[in-house]
Amino acid sequence: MNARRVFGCVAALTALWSACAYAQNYATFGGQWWTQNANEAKYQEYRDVARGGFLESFLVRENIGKDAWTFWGANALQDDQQNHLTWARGIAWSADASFTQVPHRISNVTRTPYAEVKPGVFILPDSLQRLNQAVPGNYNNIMNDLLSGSREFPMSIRTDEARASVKMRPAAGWQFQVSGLQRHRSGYKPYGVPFGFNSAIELAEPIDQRVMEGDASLRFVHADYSVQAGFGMSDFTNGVSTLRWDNPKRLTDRTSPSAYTGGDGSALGQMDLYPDNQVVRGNVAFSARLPKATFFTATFGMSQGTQNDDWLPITVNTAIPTFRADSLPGKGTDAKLTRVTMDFRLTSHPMPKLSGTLRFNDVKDDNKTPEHTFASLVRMDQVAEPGPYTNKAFGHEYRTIGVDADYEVIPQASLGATYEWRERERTHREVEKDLENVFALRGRAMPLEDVIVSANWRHGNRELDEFLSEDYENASGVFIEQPLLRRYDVANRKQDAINANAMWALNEMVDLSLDFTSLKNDYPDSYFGLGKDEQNLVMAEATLHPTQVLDVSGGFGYGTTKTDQRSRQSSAGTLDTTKVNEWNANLKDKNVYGFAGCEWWAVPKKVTVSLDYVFTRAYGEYLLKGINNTAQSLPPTLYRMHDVQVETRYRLPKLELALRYGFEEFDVVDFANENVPLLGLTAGAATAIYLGDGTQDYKAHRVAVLASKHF
Amino acid sequence: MHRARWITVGLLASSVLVLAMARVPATTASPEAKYVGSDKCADCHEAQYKEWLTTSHGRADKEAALLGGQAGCESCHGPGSEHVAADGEKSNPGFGTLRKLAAMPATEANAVCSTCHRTGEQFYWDHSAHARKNVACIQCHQVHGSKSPKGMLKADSDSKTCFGCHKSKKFQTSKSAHMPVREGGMECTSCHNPHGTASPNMIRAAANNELCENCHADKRGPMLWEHAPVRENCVTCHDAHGANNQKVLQAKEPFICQRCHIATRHPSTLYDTPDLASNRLFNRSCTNCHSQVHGSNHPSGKFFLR
Repeated sequence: MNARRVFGCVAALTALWSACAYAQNYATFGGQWWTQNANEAKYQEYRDVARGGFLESFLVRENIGKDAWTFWGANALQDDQQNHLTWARGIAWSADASFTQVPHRISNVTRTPYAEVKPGVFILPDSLQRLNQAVPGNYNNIMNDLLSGSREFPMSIRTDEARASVKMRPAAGWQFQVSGLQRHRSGYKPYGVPFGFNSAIELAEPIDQRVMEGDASLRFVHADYSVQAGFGMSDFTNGVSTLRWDNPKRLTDRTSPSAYTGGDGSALGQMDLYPDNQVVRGNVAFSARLPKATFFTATFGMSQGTQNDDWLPITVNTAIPTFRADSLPGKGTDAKLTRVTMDFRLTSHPMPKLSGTLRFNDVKDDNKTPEHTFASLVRMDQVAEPGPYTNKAFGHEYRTIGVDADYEVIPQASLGATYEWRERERTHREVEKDLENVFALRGRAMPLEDVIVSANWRHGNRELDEFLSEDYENASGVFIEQPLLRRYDVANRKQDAINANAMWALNEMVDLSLDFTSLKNDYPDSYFGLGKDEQNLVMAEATLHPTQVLDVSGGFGYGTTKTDQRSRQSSAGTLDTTKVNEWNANLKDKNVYGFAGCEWWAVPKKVTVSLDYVFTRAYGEYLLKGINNTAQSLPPTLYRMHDVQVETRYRLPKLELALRYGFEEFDVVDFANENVPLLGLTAGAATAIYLGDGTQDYKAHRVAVLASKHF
Repeated sequence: MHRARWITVGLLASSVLVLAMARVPATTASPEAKYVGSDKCADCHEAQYKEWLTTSHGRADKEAALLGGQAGCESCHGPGSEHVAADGEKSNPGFGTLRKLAAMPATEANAVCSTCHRTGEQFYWDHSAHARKNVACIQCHQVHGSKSPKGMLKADSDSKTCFGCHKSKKFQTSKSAHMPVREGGMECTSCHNPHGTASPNMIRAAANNELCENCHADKRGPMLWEHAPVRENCVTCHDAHGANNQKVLQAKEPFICQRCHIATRHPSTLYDTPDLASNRLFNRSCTNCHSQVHGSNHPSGKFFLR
């Protein structure tokens, strides 16, 4: 890999050098040495850390006659590379092409006992299954031995995206554009594939997903109006649409004796992964310019998504013969969703100091997926559960009517107000309609020449139209969900949001800014579920330019989140009506974010020394209590990161040489995600097999030597 | 509701009609001034002119016919004959007759830009939150050159431009669970169009789900068994700008799930003597088993287990 990168860098540099000179052209390249004390990479999850030679960034701009070329990019030939090429001939033609990659490194220490014999098919040795089936009491010892000797592999996914577009202006006022995209996501990610609730298993789910898109649009602009219309298609293909994996506890199928909790029923599991789907879309928009700086815009859009992947059998457990594939009510879902959008906006400045907007927006998701009734289902391939079970096609419609008005009271101050009427309707939910009235006020002032102060306040009151309790009941009219539960996405809600900001350019040497945001949600009628949540954030930034040779900048932010929720859970198959089993959870997050940077011209026009430092800290508390004080708080969690970089740079007329040192330290304390073991013990003798992809502490050092060539 | 919709449509239509009837010509520059061409400008402003020539604005100088009007320096600064005639004499009244966008109120300066930039990305500018808050185009963009490879921005990337004002969002992207904005794999403009859209929060789609599904097309469905809030709005559970919880969830599992699901069979004793190794709390918590939480197409997938 390194040899390929070095070769690629040299080839790229040669190509860049051969380009004609233009003052802004540059290429930054060099070599980097990197070490870290643990093979884990939480804060590097979207980066490919360069080791050895690398081309950090480049930019080539070239004008030849009417043709203008720009080629730029970063991290050439690495997994996080970005490459962009644009060409333009005057303004009549232009074309863009890009290729980017985004890695998502999930873990470097994952282990699995499974062997993938073909994409999505994972097997274990038959002898292992036979042994565990014969002597269940030895399961933990056997699996511990197997897991400790299983292969270790890095788990990650990567998204490769290629885009291209061509735009042309055939005549005055006309524009035509076509664009295409291919996005391919590949790799492995952890996925839960249980045989029972006490027998969770994780697999490295193979990802091979591809999206192809094409769009075309036509636009016409006249002095008084403009029109644009677009049409596009998107196709998603999943290269691995089914998972099949062996049950470590069983070699032969049977109906699980312990319902579905023990995980020792079927010998094989099967799961349907995300189905192929297609979307066709189109839109038309019209805009008109009217007197008094008035603008009217109307937009109409429509799209249709479809999905009809073949269904898998209800189960692969041969001990449940009743439920074969031919017992299904059809071959596929034949799902169809139509989205219709309308938007009308009128913005005007009827008086020089007054402006306003009247707007209407409607988005309707009409889910036309047919109902399918299944006689039974088989949870986790363990035990058949008689039905009938019928799917529901969830749809919704959001409508918003809004009025905005802003008035310039004096040249240094303006006030504004907004009113919004939001109505939401939905199908097959306990709340099929709700209405929210939103009021907002805002102000902006310049009390001094270089001081800008602004503030916004918004209040929303959402009320449901009717609560349909039958959605919480089974076919016999018995509650299967707590009747006092109100789910927060459809519950009555009072919302208050504040944002205040001040910016002060003290003089030519000092800039200061202060930002405060607050969001409070109160769900007054939710006895169970989320009751309140509150987020506050304050952030200050400053830049200093004390002398001609020194620039300093820094910022500090502190944020808190508090939520309050209540529940009453039951281990029984019936709803718990006992108040003493209630518990309440207060979750608190405290976040700190700080950064500092400085650049010092140690030798004017020749040598700079720069320092950049970033610090983040996220501390979580999970405070629980029950009426009988039985519920106990969970341990707090902590994620903390320090990232320091020091660089000294020597500048020649067309060349810069740099030496860079970086250090990063990451600490984590998290009962759920830190150092995940391979075999997890749960209640009783049941077990869970994990991939061990937990987050870990690490420290890393890097040293790089760089050159920036300007040509 | 239909009544409210028709009232709104009626209000909009009548407003358009009244304003159309009152239509008056737009104001123009003084009739004495004449256009002299960009070459004249280069005589004095050579460095600026050379840099400008490398930009799309410079390329447009030769394409006045396609723009259907004036191109070059004077398309923004106005006719330059009086400025040229002043011959550099600042005391000459003609010297100051050119438009200086930086010295103009934002709405007036933006109207100059809107002369050409009225379609595509800028189609909804006049209705955008940025326009309403008097953000000037030139607060983000350079006119004569560019610090960014694309978009003629004052900063070297879209996100740095946005973070100049949207500091709380910068804070959020610093959290442990985030999308790859700070690593450069995404930009704010991947999801938002700062020039305005026909959707709330200036997102580049008709609805939140449509936006998310642009990249997460695997979750697009429609599925056989759907999870109602997933179908309705991704941000019910996820905070797209960053969170402290895995998968940018608004709360740690199982608490995020327990905000809506109480029901039966999930042990009431989960927190009595917290068994931190229990797969109800550990690792992926609820999604250790309910891994198809975004919807399932399996006939036995009603509970998102298959």
